[in-house]
Amino acid sequence: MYIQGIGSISAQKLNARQGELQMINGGTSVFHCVEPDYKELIPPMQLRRMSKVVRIGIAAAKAALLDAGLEKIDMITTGTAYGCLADTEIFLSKLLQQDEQMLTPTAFIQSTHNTVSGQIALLLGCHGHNFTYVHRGHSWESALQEAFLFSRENAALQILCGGIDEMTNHSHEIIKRFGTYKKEEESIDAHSDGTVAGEGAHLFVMSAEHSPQSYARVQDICLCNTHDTVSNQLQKFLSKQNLLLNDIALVLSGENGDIRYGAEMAALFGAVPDDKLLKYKRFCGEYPTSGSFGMALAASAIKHQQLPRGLNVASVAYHGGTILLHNHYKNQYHSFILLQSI
Amino acid sequence: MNAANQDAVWIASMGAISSIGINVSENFNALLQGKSGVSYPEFVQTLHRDDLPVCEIKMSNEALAALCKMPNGLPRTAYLSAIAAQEALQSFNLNACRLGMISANTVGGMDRSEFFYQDFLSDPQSGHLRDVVHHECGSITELVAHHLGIKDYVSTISTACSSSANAILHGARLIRHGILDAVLVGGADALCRFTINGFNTLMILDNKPCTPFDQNRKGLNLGEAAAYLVLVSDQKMHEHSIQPIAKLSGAANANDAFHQTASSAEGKGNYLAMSEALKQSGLSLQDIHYINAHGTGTANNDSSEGIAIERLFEGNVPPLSSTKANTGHTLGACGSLEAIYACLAIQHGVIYPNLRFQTQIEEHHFSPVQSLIENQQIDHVMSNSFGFGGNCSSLIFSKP
Repeated sequence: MYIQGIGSISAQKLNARQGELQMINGGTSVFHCVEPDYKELIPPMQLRRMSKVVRIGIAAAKAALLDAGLEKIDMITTGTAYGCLADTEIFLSKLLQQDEQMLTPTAFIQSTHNTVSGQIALLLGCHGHNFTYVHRGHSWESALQEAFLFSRENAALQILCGGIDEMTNHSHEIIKRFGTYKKEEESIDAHSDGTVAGEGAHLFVMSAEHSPQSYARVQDICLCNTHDTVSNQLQKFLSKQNLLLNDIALVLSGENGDIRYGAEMAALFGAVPDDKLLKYKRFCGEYPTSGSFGMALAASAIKHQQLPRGLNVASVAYHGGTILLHNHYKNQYHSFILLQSI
Repeated sequence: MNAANQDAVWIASMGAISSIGINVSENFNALLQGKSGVSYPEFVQTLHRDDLPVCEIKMSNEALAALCKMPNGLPRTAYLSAIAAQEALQSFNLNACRLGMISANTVGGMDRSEFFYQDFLSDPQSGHLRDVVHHECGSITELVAHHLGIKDYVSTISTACSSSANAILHGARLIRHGILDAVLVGGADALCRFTINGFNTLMILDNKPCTPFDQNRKGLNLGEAAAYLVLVSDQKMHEHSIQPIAKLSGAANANDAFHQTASSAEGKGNYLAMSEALKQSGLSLQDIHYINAHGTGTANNDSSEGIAIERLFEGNVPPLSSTKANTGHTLGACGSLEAIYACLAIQHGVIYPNLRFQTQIEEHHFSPVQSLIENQQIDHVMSNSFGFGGNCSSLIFSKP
C-alpha cells in the first residue's frame, strides 16, 4: 500500500510534500495544534457549527485529497480514541446543570464518535465503506490496518485513512489527575515522570498502486498483542520481512518523555545509535492517535530522503532507506509500521 | 472440504442479553411469544422515568456484576458485554486458535462519567477518577477482553447504530485475511441519561411502545443490550468439528452521505449496503427468505429503508419485520443482537412478527409480517443496521 497524499494538522506546521516543517510549539504545557486558515477548505456557515476535532479532521482530509491530486475517494477509515470530546462535554454539562431539561440537539448530534468520518463522507459525497475505530492507543493503527486489508482486496481503491484526536481544557485537567503529564513548566525533554499532551489530525490517501505522487510504501503493520513481549513481537515483525534492527535506516520511536517507560524503550531501541533514532512525540505531544503524526513525518522523510527541513534534531542523520515507526500509549498498545521508498 | 468454502466465515456460537431475556434461549422464546421489553425506566436514574418508555434489563448493576463475576463500580455496558460474551464463548473449546475480540459501543462508560462530571463541574479536583477511567469506548472492550482472557487482537468500532454490524464485518475480514482463526464480534450499550436525553432532543422518541413500519409511527424506544457471535474460519471449523449455526455470506457497509442524523428519502446508503451484501453472497433476490429490518420506528428511517428495500427487491419484498418493537433500539448492540435473531430464524425455521403493526405506510407497497411464521425453510436472512453519520450496513446469513 502506498501513501499518495497527506493532510497534517499538528502542533507544528508540516508540509510533507515540500519536505518542510515550521516549528511553532516548543513543548511545554500542551502541544495545541496549529489550525489552518479554513477559508478555502470549509464554508463559513458550516465552520461555525463545527467543534475543533471536526474542523481539523475535515481540513486534513481536504488537504490530503488536494495533495494526492484527487477530488473523490472510495472509502474512509479513521481512528479516534476520544471522539468528539468538546461536544460531549457541552451536552453532558448542560444535561447535569439543567437537570435533563431544555436541552438542544446540536452538541449531542456532533458528539457521536463517527461524526468526523461521516462529515468527511458528506462533504466529499463518498458513499463507500466508512468506519471509525475507537480503541484507545490502537485507534489509528486499527484504521490503518483496515486500509491495508482493503488495499489487498481491491487494488483500484483510493482510501482515505487517518487518526484524529482533540484536547479540551476538561480532558487535559482530567488526564492530568491520572498523573499522565509533566509539571506545567517542564518541557517534554525534561528527565521526569509524565509526558506533554498533544492533539492533531492526520489523514492519508492510500492506494495499492504507486504513482509519481507516492511518498512511500507501507510495507507491513503490527498491532502488538498482549500474549508476547513487545521486543519479541518486534523481532518477529522484522524477521517476517527478512530484516534486522540494524537494517533500519531510521527508527521513529514512540518515546514520549516519560521516564517511567524508560526500561521498555531501552529494551526495544537501546541498541539503535542516536543518529538513527528520532522521538517524534517531542514535536506533536502525546495523544492516543499521535502515531499518525509519526507516519506523516516518516512519509515526508522517505520521499525527500531527508528529514523535513526545519525539524530541530541535529543529532539524527537520515539520507533515505527503510523507516520503522513505533507507537505506544502508556506502555500499552504498542505498534510497528514499516515504511519503505517506492 | 468444499473448495468454494475456503474463504467462508462461520457463526459457531452466540450470546445475548436484552430486555426480553438474559441469554439467547430466553431472547428466542420471547420473540416466539411476541414479548415486548418496553417499560418505564427503574434502574437508570432519569427525570424521564414517567414519560419516556425504554427497553430496560430489569437487573441492578450489582446483580449484573455478580452474574458475570466482575467487580462492582464498572460501567453497566461492561457488565452487559461480559455476560453476552461469556455465553458466546462457553459452548466450545477454542484451544490452539488465534482468538480476537472486536466490540462496539456508542458511549463507552458514560453512565459512570455522568457521576464523575457532576462533581467535576463544581470543582475540577473532585469527582472519583474510578468513575471516569472507563469513559472511552475502547475501555469497555478492554475490560471484557481482559476478563475473558482474549489477547490476540482486540479492537473497538463506533459507528453509531451500525456499530456492532460493523464489528461483524471487521471480524470476518480479519479471518479472511488469515490474521485470526476465530473472533468474538458484537456490541453492547446500556441505557444512560446522556443517550436518553440526546435522542429526546432529536424528538424521535415515542412516548408509547414504538410501532415500526406503521403509518402512524411516532419514533423509537431506546433499549439496552449486548450480543456477541463467535466467527470461525473454514479451516478451524473443520479442525474442531464445529457444527456451525450459519454462514456469513455477505456483509457490506456504505455511506448515505446525506445528513449527519437523517437518511436520504430514497435510502441511497441503505440500498448500496444491501445490494453490495447481496452481490457478495452471490444470491439472487428470491433467495432472501426474511429481512430483519433496522426498522427503528422513526418516520425517517422506516420510510427510507422500505423504499430502498422495494427498489432492491424490485417490488417483491420478502417477509420482513423489525424486532425493535420487542427490544427497543439498542444502538451499539442492535446490529449483533439482530444478527443473532437472523441466525435463530435460520436455525429454527421461523419468522418473527412485527409487534403492534396496524396501518401500512402510505409510500410503501408492503406490510411487515404480523404473526409468527413457523416450520418454514429459511435459507438466507438479511439483517440491516443504519446509523448516524450516514453509516449503513447490511449482513446476509445463510443456512450451513
